[in-house]
Amino acid sequence: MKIEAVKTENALLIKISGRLDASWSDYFTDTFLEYIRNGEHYLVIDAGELTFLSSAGIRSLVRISKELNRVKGLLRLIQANDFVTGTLRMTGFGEWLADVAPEDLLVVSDDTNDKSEDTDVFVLKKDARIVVEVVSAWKPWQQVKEKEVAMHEFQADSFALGIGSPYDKLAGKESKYGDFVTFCGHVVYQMPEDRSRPDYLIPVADFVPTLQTIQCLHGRGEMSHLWRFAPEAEKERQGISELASRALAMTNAEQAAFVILAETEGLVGAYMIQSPGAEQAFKPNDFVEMRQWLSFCGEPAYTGEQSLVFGIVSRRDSPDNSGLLVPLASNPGLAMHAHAVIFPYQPLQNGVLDLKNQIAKFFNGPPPKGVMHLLDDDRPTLGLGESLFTRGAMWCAPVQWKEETV
Amino acid sequence: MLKIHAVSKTFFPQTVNEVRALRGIDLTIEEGSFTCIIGTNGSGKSTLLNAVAGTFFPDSGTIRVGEADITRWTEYQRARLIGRVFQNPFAGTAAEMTIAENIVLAMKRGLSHPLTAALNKSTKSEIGDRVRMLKMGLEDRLDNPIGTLSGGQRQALTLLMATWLRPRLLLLDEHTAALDPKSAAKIAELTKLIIHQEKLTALMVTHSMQQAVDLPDRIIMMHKGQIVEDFQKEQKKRVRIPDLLDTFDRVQKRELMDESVAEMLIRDYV
Ligand SMILES: Nc1ncnc2c1ncn2[C@@H]1O[C@H](COP(=O)(O)OP(=O)(O)O)[C@@H](O)[C@H]1O
Ligand SMILES: [Mg+2]
Repeated sequence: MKIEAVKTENALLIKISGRLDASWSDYFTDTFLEYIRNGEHYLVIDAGELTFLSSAGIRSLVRISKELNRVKGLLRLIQANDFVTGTLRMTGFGEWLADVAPEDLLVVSDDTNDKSEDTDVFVLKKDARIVVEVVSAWKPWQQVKEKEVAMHEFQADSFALGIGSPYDKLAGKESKYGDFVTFCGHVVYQMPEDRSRPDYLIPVADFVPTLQTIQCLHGRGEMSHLWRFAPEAEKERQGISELASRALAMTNAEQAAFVILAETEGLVGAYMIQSPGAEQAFKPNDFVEMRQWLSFCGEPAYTGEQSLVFGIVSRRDSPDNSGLLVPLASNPGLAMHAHAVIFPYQPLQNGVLDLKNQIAKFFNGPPPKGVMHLLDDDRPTLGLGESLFTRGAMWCAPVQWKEETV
Repeated sequence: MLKIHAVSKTFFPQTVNEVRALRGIDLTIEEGSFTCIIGTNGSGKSTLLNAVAGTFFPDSGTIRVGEADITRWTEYQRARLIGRVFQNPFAGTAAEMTIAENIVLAMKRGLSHPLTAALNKSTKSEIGDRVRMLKMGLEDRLDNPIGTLSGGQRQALTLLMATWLRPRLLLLDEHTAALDPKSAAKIAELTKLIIHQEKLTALMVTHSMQQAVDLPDRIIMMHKGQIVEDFQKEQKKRVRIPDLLDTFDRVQKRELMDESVAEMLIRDYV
């Protein structure tokens, strides 16, 4: 079987010839899923030379159609012969058949395909902002004292990151403080133990996810801007520092909060695998002992998966009363703190995306694979650099610090 | 039952070939439990079993079996407590002697005059009964030299002999690794059966993830002379092969945390 795709004005026109049966269906499915991954959500199959369609082929089409439904896309077959038309009608998939000549799907040449930068920026709510409250009394790797622990309830407009625990015990080993991140009140928490998958708390009915935090940036409010990004000829991927700096530019703010939902090229970061508690965890630079406390990714991780990141970025010359923002090696003008949760890949719909819906969709889908505190690894020669993303969405808003922070 | 405390062993100390094969091993094995040890090549699994069996004395630390501190017992003294099976099916048996004679030797192990015992009729029927449970038809070939048997058959007999006197502790070191897959599966199954039937306490090194998941009550992972993971009880029950592979990955990843990473983390992970 042969598959050839041409980009047209409104759709991807894919000419297939030969037999679509069990021996070709995997190849066919993979090729089409790749189109969807690349942001092509309107797929028109020119079936003029498709000679045979078996039930394995139909299963492939169903799979592709399902993926397209999730991103509000569309699948159509044109020019199908009588056999294919009959098969689809009989099996109840007649709705996929359309009566369009391929010439009517205007062919667009590749060079007019470049989009100007700003077409993908959307203003969602002009004066929306995120009001951030800070917990930073605990100093890393020291003993946790009761007065350093602050309880946080995460409401539907809460975005947060930090180190916290869903358990009540404040000190000691049972406390289980681990890295967490919160989106629209949905909490993902990495149990401080490297063999367990993250746990998550979803607000349903009257349940309000709550954590005891020893470190927390808790923002509440709405996002003002959305940027949809995709690989471009000159720029195939976005570093998190570029995204963060873009968030500052878009919101025209000194400090901004941002949420990134994007396909991952590679994440660089670490997470806690032992809870700080009753004692000083380890002496700085005792790296052998440190292995028992922090798990470092070692290589860019989670390639091809979907990352959901919450971060706060500040221009370095602007005051940030958090102490939790760390200067970025890749972008010395900025200081940032960001946590990511990683979900199995699912394609995103094009255009304006509703943040709340996306959060609900991901949290109700397959479980998260990990939580990470993102780092900018600038070690000479060995450094892994920063986290990179290929395509997706970034929501952002200016940050305002809450007055009476801890 | 078995208590290994802070046991270390360095081979060729203070030479270029120095190997810290065991680095402060702490391990308590409960009576009647069956533990598998997994880990990469050279991680110290065999060395740990050798330390328990008394092949050498540890540089430091103690080893107790029940109330007895056996740290300074010789290998020969420990043989009364410990049964062993090695990887090589030709180790531990005498090829030119018959099956029955080999078993008699095993039965008399630890006695002061081992070879004086005769192979009388009742002994022979007892041997026949126990060999029959292997379900290999070997009960009809008791007078054949053991050298005529296949690797799998010999390993089954070695296992039987090592457990004949119900040792307090059974040590198995990759005892299925040299066999073809079918024989290996058969021996693995027999191992589990005998350990359960005789209610033995066993420590088994295996290269097979499948065996580690299927057979024991507990899995210990070694890496560079240390115990790096320990799946017990409920934790063990939910362990599957991908979990073990993940664990290997994580353990290797820990190695990547060197001084330069530590410095970066201290600075940036706040
Ligand atoms: N008798 C010995 N003399 C010197 N080095 C040894 C001896 N036994 C083991 N070693 C070394 O100790 C390390 C651990 O070996 P071993 O316990 O056999 O590993 P494993 O059984 O996990 O594959 C290896 O580097 C090995 O070369
Ligand atoms: Mg070995």
